[in-house]
Amino acid sequence: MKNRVIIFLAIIICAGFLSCAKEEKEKPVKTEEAVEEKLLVDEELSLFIPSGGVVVPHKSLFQFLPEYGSEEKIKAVLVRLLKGDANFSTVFQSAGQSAGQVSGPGAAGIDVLDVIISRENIAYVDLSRSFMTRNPAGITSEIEAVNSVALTVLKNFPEITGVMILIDGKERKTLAGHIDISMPFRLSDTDNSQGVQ
Amino acid sequence: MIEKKIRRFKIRILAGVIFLLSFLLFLGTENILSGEGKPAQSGKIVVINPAQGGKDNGISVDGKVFEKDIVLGLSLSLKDKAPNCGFSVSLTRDKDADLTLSDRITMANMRSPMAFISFHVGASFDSAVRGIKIYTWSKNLGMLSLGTEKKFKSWTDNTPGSQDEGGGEASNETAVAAAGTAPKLKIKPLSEVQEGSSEESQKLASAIKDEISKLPDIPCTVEHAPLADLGGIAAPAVVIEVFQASNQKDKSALLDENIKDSIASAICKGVGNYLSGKKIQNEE
Repeated sequence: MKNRVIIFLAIIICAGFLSCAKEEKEKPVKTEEAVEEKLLVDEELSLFIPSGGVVVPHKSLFQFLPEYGSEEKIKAVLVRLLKGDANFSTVFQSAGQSAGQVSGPGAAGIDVLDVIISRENIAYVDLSRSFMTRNPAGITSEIEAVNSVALTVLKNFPEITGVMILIDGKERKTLAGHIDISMPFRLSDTDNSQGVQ
Repeated sequence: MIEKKIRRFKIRILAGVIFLLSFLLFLGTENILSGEGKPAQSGKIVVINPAQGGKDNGISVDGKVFEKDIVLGLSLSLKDKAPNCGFSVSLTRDKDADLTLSDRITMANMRSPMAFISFHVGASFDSAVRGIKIYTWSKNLGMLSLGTEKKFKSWTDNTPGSQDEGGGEASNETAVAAAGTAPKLKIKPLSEVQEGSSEESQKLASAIKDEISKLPDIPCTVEHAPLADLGGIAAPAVVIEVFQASNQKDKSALLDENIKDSIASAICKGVGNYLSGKKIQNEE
């Protein structure tokens, strides 16, 4: 009888130790998750959306991981601008159809393939070919598209001095035959009275 | 006595000839000033570039009619009207043909024109946008400015194959190469060529806009952009974006022969007026 009581107590003590040890292991995980949630950085940035022949700033909330640098942030912002997401429907998703464009559009939206920032702080923005083929192919629409991408980067990330647009990793003389995109775009020194064209 | 009479007679004849010549000279000046109803003068050549062509249909207006056909029709119409406005037209293409941008710029510069006009049909992301837009070259694009140099070695080598062939020619073309002479003599970026004519291009755009604005219900604006069509042109140059195919009202206008004819007439008058003003300035 005495032995049985001792064995019973031993089992209870072991079970107690095991449960405590398990709790100790889980506790740090819960804390880590809580810290990670807290550390997501909220940033309200402006997406420059084509509207009425110009581009208009549209406030949008982003949550970036703390370790995100400018390249990751710019990529995230451009993905929302050009491809859209659950909370944002972009004009670039349906572009190229209203004008009865010849080149058929591919998948909805435009892929942001890469963003690389040079030592001189020029952002090289590599976009999928659909940025070109889904453009309605007028001068006006090319101006809208270039302004939309370049201003979204330059106005939100003041450390960036220029935006160079690449298509499928390559430089192009023009976007869709009109606007010269062979050089990086910078913010103009002179104020243009026509507004955000 | 007889000698005196002969001398008087000679003086009268001479005075008559001088008067007649002065009168003819006056009539000629009047013709130049009026800007219309005068014969084409051999020196006043305007190069017209109908955009697209060949495999490149450009914008489809209604699935059957394309940008390349509309701009060619407008160009041919302007060519017919041009002699009445005091200039002659030389086209970069007078039929459905494939031409690269370099071909067009080279052709234009080799003809040493007094003006260059490139026709396009427009489109916007916003179907509410409509009207005719006249563009002059500028490195500025609204709040943006096109840079003059790239600073990222891996993308600046200009090694063969580093640029996409479809859509753009090499960015290191030279103005001299475009003009058809030996490129080794002088290296100048294409974009800098048009900068020398920017003031005259602005005057040309204003003159055309003044005439188009007289047409009912056709909005017309003058704007500026780094357009590849214009950068290498060594003459006053504009791009005319004729209506926006993305707008329903403009789409109807693009298919209306009467409207297109009135636009060609307005452009003809505008160019004629610009060239008349230029003549007066040259004389001064």
